[in-house]
Amino acid sequence: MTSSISNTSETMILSGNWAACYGAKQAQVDLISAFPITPQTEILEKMAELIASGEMDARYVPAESEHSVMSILIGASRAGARVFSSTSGQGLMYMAETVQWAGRGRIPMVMCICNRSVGEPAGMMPDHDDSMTMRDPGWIQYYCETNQEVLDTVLQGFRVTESIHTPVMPCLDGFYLTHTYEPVEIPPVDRVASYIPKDIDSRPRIDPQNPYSFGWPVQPQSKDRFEHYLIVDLAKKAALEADEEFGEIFGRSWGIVEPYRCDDAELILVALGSMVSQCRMVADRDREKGRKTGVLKIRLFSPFPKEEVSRILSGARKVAVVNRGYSYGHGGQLTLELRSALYESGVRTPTYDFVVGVGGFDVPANIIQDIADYCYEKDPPQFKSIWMGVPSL
Amino acid sequence: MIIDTGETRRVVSFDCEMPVNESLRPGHTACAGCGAAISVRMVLKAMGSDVAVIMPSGCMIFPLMISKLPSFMGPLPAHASFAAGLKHGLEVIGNDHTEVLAFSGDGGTFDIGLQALSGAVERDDDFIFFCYDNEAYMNTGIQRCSSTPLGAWTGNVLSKPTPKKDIMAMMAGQSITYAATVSIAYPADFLRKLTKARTIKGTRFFHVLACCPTGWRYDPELTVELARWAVQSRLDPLYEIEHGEYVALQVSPKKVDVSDYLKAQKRFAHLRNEEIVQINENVDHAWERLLRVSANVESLPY
Repeated sequence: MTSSISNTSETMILSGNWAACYGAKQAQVDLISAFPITPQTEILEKMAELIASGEMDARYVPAESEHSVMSILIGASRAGARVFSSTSGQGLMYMAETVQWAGRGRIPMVMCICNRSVGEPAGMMPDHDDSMTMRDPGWIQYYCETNQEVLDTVLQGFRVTESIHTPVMPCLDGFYLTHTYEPVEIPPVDRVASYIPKDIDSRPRIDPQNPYSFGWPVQPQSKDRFEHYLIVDLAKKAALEADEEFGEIFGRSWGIVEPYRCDDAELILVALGSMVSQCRMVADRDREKGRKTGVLKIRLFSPFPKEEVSRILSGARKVAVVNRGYSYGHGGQLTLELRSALYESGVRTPTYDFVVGVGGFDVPANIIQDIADYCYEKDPPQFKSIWMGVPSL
Repeated sequence: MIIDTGETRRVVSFDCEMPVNESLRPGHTACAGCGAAISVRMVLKAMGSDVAVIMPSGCMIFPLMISKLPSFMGPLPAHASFAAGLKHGLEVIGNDHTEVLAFSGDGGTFDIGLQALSGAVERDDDFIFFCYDNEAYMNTGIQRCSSTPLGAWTGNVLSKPTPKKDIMAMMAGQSITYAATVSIAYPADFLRKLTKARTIKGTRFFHVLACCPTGWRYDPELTVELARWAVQSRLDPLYEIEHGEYVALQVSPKKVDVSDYLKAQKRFAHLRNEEIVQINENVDHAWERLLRVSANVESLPY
């Protein structure tokens, strides 16, 4: 542990998985638990290695299933420990009951989701159908574009989770981020400690000297659910503050949404995660061709930043939502959120519901280019999603 | 904060020193004659006040949710892992003294909770898991469980066609640090085993046959009597396992017939004679095996 404490940041070439690990390491987590599943497995291996080598002072509890991983985290967090984990795809599905429990129980923790498609049929490549199923129980969800953002979001996640007592889920696309290496700046432990001191977490905990009870059955008249609503509603503010203060301390911030070349844009592409980079490429190419294309990156997905999204999109002529997940019978999850926000704010910009990469197929920039071309040529079809780039047999 | 002075009072009829400390409050809503509630009260007496309690859905949420101890509830499959996590969490923040106690019914132990329990036992996580086995899902209203005995009536199976799972053998098969069966009819033995467990580090498993007047269909006043008959008929043997070895078997002197135990409960009222003979043979067979594998045989006073 001692060797890594310094006042200066260190830059390393890290995969997204390792960036998540170094985030947890610099946050000085007390306990991690995880269960192997591709593409997340490297996280638990790296964490175990950092702990075994003494570089990190934490306890690693190898669980026999994801269901137990989350249960162990809940137990340890109830004791007052700072806890971290990660999972993917089916792992999140198996964990679901306890993920709901942690969200509704408002248990502070950070758990990275290395996005992976959900069976059947089984698949290993990324889409957002795993994390999207956990939109509802009150977890704060971020989607990351780069490995630096992964590390920073883990740190910001601890800031948010311990200040408003609601768990945080940074999502990173499997393989595109988890297994891709980028230079990542690792902030020093002492500066991180000033950003997320361990005493900001003031919630009651399990302590025989001061006994509290949690989670027991309550009368339906209980106002826990309403209070939960009020807290999650505050989470956007907490996320904004966490990001702003992060910027002041570390000289970098990401915003909860990021408009790219949106000011005069006629068409705005809206996306989550690593795919935002392909959208940026298309916007740049379109600008060279004289087409006014912009990009809106949604970093904070839950709670959905309705006001910011509506404000940025209100000036555009058309909005193309590029989803990497799909709610069957409804539409792309991001489209549903976005249309709801636009409707509420009275913005009636034509919105296209594009679906790409579901099941994990690759989405290179040319598919995003096809999407932009489609929007410039055609009006949005009514009551239909547009699946693009579906591999043909 | 509760202060356990460690004071005890001699109970002559039990031939033991009973702790005065009460962590359970009066007025809880368990059924009259509930064997599980008696066992939970005994456990909490034995454990003192430096304890945290975990409990999934089950009958004992009603007494435990109003206990004087810090506690939390978890979903049914997860509480062994909740308990393991709580103990690890307490340790990493510097509390190495608080004992973590996970209660569970038979469903959360034999069936849906088995994976988490098995994982914790294999990791030798440091907590006590106490299973009050009322042999059906009594909190949801008497449904078949893998702990339901051969021939018993439940709300969804009229006469269970297969025998009860041997959870203790499964614990032994995992070389568990310590496991013991206890009975509410033998409080001295019950307290001795819990007190012994407090001195051991690692996963400690307890099983009590929790007689249930509501689900077994008998007069509530017979609860302790039935528990005693279960031990005396060899149907509910009392024994201890250490590191997977059967180290001691506690034998009661008086043998009641298994059929007396069965006939006292309406859940077995439909059994034909040959079925009772079969159950008797199974009990004898299990008892002979226990006698064979046990390193020591000890005597119970009654």
